[in-house]
Amino acid sequence: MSQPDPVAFVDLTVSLRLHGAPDDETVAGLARAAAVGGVGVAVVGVEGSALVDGPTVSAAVGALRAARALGVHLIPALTPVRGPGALADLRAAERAWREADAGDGGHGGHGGDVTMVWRLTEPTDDALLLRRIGDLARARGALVVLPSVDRSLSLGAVAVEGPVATRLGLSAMPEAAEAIGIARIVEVARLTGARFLVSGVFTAAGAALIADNAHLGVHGVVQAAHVLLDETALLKMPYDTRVLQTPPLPTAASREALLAAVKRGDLMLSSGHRHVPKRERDLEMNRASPGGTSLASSRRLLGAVLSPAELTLAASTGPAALLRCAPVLTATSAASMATVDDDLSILVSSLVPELPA
Amino acid sequence: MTRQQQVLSMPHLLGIEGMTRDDAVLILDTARSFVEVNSRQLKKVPALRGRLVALLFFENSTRTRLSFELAAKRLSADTLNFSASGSSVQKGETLSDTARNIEAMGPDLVVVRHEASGAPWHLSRVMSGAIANAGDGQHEHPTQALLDAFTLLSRWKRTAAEGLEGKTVCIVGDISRSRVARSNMLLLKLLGARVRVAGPATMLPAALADVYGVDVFDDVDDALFSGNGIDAVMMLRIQKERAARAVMGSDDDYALGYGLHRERFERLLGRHDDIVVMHPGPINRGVEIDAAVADSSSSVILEQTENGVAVRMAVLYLLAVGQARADVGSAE
Repeated sequence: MSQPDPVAFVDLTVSLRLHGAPDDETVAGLARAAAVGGVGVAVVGVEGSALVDGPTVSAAVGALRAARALGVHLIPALTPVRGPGALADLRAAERAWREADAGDGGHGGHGGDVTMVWRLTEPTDDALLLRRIGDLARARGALVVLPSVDRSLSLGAVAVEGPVATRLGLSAMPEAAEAIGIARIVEVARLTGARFLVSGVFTAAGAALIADNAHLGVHGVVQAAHVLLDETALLKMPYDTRVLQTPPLPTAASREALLAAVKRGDLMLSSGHRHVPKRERDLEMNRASPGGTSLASSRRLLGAVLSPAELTLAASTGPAALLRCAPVLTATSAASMATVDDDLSILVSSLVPELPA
Repeated sequence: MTRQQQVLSMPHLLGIEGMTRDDAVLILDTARSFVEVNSRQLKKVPALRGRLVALLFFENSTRTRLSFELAAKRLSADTLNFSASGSSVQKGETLSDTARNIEAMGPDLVVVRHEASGAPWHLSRVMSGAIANAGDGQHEHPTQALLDAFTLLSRWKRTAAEGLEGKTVCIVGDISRSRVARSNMLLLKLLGARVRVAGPATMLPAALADVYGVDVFDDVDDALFSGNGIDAVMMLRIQKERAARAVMGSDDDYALGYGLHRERFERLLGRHDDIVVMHPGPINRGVEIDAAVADSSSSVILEQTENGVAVRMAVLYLLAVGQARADVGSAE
């Protein structure tokens, strides 16, 4: 009797880095990190000239195909410029990528059945723009990935409003910023019939809204760090940029709700935000880029709070179903699950004593 | 209280949070002795002769910078002045790199003001000198709170050891963005006072009562006149430079709703003829406080400025003493 194929992680909002090469943001670097971390499928952001410039698009498509030699399927997330030009950008990008990819069945060589992904890096408060993007996405069968918070309530915030932010004097947003943002997305999904993936859900109310509206095609992903750490990490390591996250670390109550939602299959897991280069950890808090632990570096830790079945559903089969791809490691994938960044793994362990050291 | 304590329990003054009452009393008692120095014809003592005090002001300041500089000079220290404008910071240099370059000049004490909450904490990790926080973002401004407490004790003719028990102080204004309010809430409570805070709901941060143990009002008249009333009122400056979005109506609306205008002040005087009026400055006259009230005999605003020098002399002196003890300890 043959063994079942090992299940690989499917990372929806990936920002993987190889251990020892934290600043390598290339497709090739990401592919190597994914292979080492046991990530079989990852969504990779494509922006700038790689969106529409013919030769650059061709090169990007080539890089995605090359990743398959490592057993990693990289799905491009076409990421338009911010603001009102987003729709025109998406139309042009879709055309350019379709032409460049025509020889291999579409979408970076993954075959025509794999979902096309469009990604908005910032929340949009423009409901009309969101509606138009939704209309186009439904027509093209694309999945729209976008952040959850209402920007007018969250601008400059590095924490959630409450005792921790008040005590440390940090700019903060109310948790309601997320509920308001997701409510807008839900109504646009109802209006357009498009599928949306809310990235970086970080509140209990946000998790509840996602669960209640999955039937409309609204899904959500929570970063690994947000089910492991809550905002009290900011008190344990005050002003340490290593615990700075976007969206902010959740309250203790929200972290519990997020974890419960993951266990139920209402939310999926992703690796989280980009890695913080060591040089940026030296910055004061209002200048440093947010970062966090990656899924690969956290798998050992996630295993302490999730059963193998729950982890597989949240980080593998669930996302695979959303992307309509197979969550299976190929023969060339190394399922070693090596840590991408030991420092961050150690950091999380030190902040949450009940997790394995 | 161990009155024998002559050294602070902490190597830096990063904030009032974590400070013991013994530390606060030591600083305030030491400041009292420096008030006497400042009243002499020759206002200088050799306490910090040969020591270098770096004054790092990454954010604009007038009175705090001048006060610290004067304090250092009256202690006979050498001073190194740094301001962000016209420096490498404007060319993109990081705080850590700036700090490391200044560290190479060997400062014994580092006074820092910065727009980012936590910047002094950050410097305490990369510099060897003792750090004195001169205001960080929306977080703390400990020397302002110390000079405010010193001024209140002086006005009420109390010693630091006697503290502020039985007194109620009301802080009015933009609590959310105020490092002065945060440090004052902590220190006034530490010294035994009851603290009320008042401001528009948009200027009151979440969980204020839980975090600081203060009474919170969004109606300033309730804050000033309810119960047994108050003994001192501290009006905060409306910080237009820190408010990202409009959180209040017009200046006139604010003055009417929350300002200490003449009518409100006279009502206060009617209940407490010895009411103390404070303001950390700079003042927006006619907005948070009426000009006549600011200049009245109830006002201690200029005393606050004057006492600031003595308090900062005490802070620099005690940090230097602590550092010297640590140096001796490590040498042994």
